[in-house]
Amino acid sequence: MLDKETDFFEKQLPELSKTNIGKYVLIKGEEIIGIFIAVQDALMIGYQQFKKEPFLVKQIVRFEEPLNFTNHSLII
Amino acid sequence: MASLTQRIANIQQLGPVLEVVLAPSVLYLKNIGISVEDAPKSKLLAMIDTGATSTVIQAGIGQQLGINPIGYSFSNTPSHTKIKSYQFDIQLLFPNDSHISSLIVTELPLQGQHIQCLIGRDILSFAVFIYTGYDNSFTLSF
Repeated sequence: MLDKETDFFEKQLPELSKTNIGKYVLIKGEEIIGIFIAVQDALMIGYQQFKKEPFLVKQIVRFEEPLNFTNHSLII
Repeated sequence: MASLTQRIANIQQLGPVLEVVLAPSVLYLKNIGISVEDAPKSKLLAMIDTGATSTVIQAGIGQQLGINPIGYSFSNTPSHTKIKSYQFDIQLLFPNDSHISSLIVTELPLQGQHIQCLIGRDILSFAVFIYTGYDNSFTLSF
């Protein structure tokens, strides 16, 4: 799920990051629906337009810091 | 400020655990037209984990709640680096009836143990967490 949106986002990232660092992009398929300051606004438009269909909301950053987990019950 | 205190039989052994309820976010429910009462819910045991950058739910719970992922993130765990995993927009309800109406959580497989959710530093960033070891209790306020 979200493979098309993810590939599209990664292709668009160099262009998006020129002027939108820190903002959130809403993507459906291979289309940018909008760019938002707040993640909640991007989600709201996504739910309003696409209801239960999948869409991608992603923050625009030059380098994505991984999340870190020290708990050994995580099995990967 | 809402506050809850939990007493655990052996907090050193079990950790600061509490029962929470997960449901789709309020934003999702409002826009889909489902009331909070009718929303699918999942009751699970969570542990407060200061070693977690953000909150994690057991793999498969998003699907149980009938929601799609809204994004993805990369994670480093004790055994792997840069694992790509889905993120979901959920609401989290605590035993004292306080709740977080929208929270983006990461889905990862949690093994064996009884724990199905790690409450991470994203929630702790707006909370006070007091671990009282000698009393086998902890308090979470936010």
